[in-house]
Amino acid sequence: MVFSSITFLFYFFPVVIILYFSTPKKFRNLTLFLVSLIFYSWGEPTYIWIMLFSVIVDFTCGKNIDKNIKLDNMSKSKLWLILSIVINLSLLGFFKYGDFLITSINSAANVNIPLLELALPIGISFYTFQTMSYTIDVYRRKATMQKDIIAFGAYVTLFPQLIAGPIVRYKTIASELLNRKESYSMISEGIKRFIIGLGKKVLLANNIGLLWETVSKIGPSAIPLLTAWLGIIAFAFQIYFDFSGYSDMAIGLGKIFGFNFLENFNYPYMAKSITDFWRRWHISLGTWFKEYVYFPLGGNRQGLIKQARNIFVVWFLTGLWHGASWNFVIWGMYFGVLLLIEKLLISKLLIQMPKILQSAYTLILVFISWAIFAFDSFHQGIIYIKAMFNTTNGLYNSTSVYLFSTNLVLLIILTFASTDYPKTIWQKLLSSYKNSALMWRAENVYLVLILIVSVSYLVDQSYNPFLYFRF
Amino acid sequence: MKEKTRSLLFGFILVAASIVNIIHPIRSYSEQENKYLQKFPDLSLNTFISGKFSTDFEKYSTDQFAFRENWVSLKTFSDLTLQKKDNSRIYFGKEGYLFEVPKVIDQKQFDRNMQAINSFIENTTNFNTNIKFSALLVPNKVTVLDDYLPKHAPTLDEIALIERIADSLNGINIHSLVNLFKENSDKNIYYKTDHHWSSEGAFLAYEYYRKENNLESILKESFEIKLESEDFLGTLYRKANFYPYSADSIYSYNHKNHLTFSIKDFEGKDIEGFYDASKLIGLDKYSFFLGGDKPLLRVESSLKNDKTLLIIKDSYANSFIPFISMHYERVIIVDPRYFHRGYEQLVIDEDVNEILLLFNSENLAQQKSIFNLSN
Repeated sequence: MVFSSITFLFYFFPVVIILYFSTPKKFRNLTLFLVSLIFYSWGEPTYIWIMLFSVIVDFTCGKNIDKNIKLDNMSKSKLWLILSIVINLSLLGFFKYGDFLITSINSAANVNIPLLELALPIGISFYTFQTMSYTIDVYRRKATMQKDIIAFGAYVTLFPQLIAGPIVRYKTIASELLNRKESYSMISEGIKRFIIGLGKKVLLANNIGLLWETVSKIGPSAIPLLTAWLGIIAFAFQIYFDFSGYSDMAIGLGKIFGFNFLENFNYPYMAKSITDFWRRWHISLGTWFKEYVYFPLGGNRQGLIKQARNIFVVWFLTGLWHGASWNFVIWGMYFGVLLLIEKLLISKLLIQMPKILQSAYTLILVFISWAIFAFDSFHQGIIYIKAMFNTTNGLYNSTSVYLFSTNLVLLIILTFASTDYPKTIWQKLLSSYKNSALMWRAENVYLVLILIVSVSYLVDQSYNPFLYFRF
Repeated sequence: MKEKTRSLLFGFILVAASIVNIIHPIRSYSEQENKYLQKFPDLSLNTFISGKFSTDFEKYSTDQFAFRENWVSLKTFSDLTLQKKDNSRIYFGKEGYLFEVPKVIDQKQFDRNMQAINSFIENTTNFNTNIKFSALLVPNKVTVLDDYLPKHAPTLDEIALIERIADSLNGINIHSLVNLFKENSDKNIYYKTDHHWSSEGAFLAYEYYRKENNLESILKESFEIKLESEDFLGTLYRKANFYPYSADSIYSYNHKNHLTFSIKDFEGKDIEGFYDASKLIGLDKYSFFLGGDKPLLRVESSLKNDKTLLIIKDSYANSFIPFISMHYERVIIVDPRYFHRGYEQLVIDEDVNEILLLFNSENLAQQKSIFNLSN
């Protein structure tokens, strides 16, 4: 099930709210666990077993890691950790990368191994990463072992972040799992976050997604310069508002149930360098790779050559995480190269440039990356990038003008909404205006309006894609 | 306090909306939208595991949403507020004119269709060289009424498409109506809310065809033109979702002559007249013409001139057929979407002298069922 649907908003969620808050505190994890299983099995019930299997495996591994640490038997403890990691990566490898591997082998060795043709279990990349964060942190003694399988199951399957993140590391919510206090202040904050996220997804991302869809349908080989830029800017806005909208909804839902998830986005299109961009984009994934791959490999503490290797390993994996296709790997490596260049050569130069040039530099490189990301075929991506930088198909045509003029209002709104200006302006108003009750009411009206208009888009069943089916 | 108020406010909105939705009566179709609505899907272990239940339920939840039509019009309203000129299916044109957003021509389908028509012509000509072939291509509304399109809206170059069709087909006389219609674009050739031409458009095309083929002249004045419906909302309206509209009118043309017609369908059942007034009440008012698309119709007139015309057609032809039937002893009408028998055999069996392909040009180039002509 997805949050941005009538089924979730008016059937699933009200029932869950009533169930959850009428459950006595000590059974609330059980309620969350059960409703999360229903949430997951909606539309794809067969794969629920993989998730439950994952719950049991990592719960058992965590228990044995902890037991052996206490017995001071570190090698045995390590064995259990390795078992957990191997099982998680095997699940991910088999379901997500099986066919990719076979296709790559087939074309490289000119053989013909039949494909598995499995549907990807939704959210598998998120929950396997979460369960690994648990066993690794128990092993590192950064988290205490969870004795209650229901609480652990609730953590793994927690529906707010189950299908599109953020990747919540176990230690960040370990204490809240057993001991959380739901409160009206958190619930009201959660409501605000959820509705803003819903609006970002349904009103902003879906609407501009139509522009990208139109451009990509025309195909990269026939578009003039203006159309190419319109298309890639549309894609950039779509993926940002879709993904960060999902994260907002997840964080908001978490708050309603008393959880504080860490932020996943921080106005990435305001970044002043690629390094900065990745501190602001999909923060939970970056943190995960830093903590569980980059640092264990030695990070930046073992000389430049090893650091370069570590960066490439991390960015190869980051790319691959986004989907089982070479274009994602290239996309990841592209960022690896840029980050290394910034680190070694131009970071000092960048800081001295005017802010606007820093922004332009960052955004242009990010837009180019989206062209690689958007096309399964790297070749198509390259043709698209060429269309962005030459005029063999002309500067613009009447289609460009039509697409530009009919999306202009939306593009202005999106540009404004992707900066932190709305937030700072509102906060300034709040602090300068004494009648805070009135401001609070104004905010309520604003939220109700977003909700109503979003519902109208959902009832119309207009364009409403789920972009993370490959993650 | 204010936190509690917000929590309770939204909790109330959610639960209230949910209850309203549950007790809201289930409807089988939306008259305003002209579409059937999903009912509560069957729940069984099988439908749940296959995912069919959840897919249908999602559809059910939006189709049966309380005050659905108001929500949908709110969506269109906000699209228009954003200065959008289309909803990716429909262009919101000037003066209430709606147009389909064009699809890219599929070259493979185009080639397949041209090949099917050519082989039909060739095979038919092989056993009877006297059969006269012609095609009357109805232009898209967009091509004729481009003044009513939003500025710069991308369209299909239909004139080029028609030229390509003419270049690809052999042994057939191709008539494009683009120029004729453009010269008469001040008349109501097309409906505003539907893609089809109006009776007036069909009559213009008929007059042209009659002159081209030297058929006996019948003046427009000899028809009684009758208003049949003032609230026709066509298929484009359905896709436009409550665009602030003006409904179309449907007219019938009745000749005051003494010819009588007997119309029989595929199974030999009698059909009462060219116009089916019962369809004016239902969802699909365009079916007023000929009662909608049928696999095959045989029209016999009291005119004894020994001429048999075969019309292979799409739905545009339905309002044209009442006119052309006044010039032939027999008119056989087949729709390749529904008629799958041998076409050459039909020509032999019915002793056809003339064959007319009457299609919208894009349909002729892209409709998959054109393939049926070649078998």
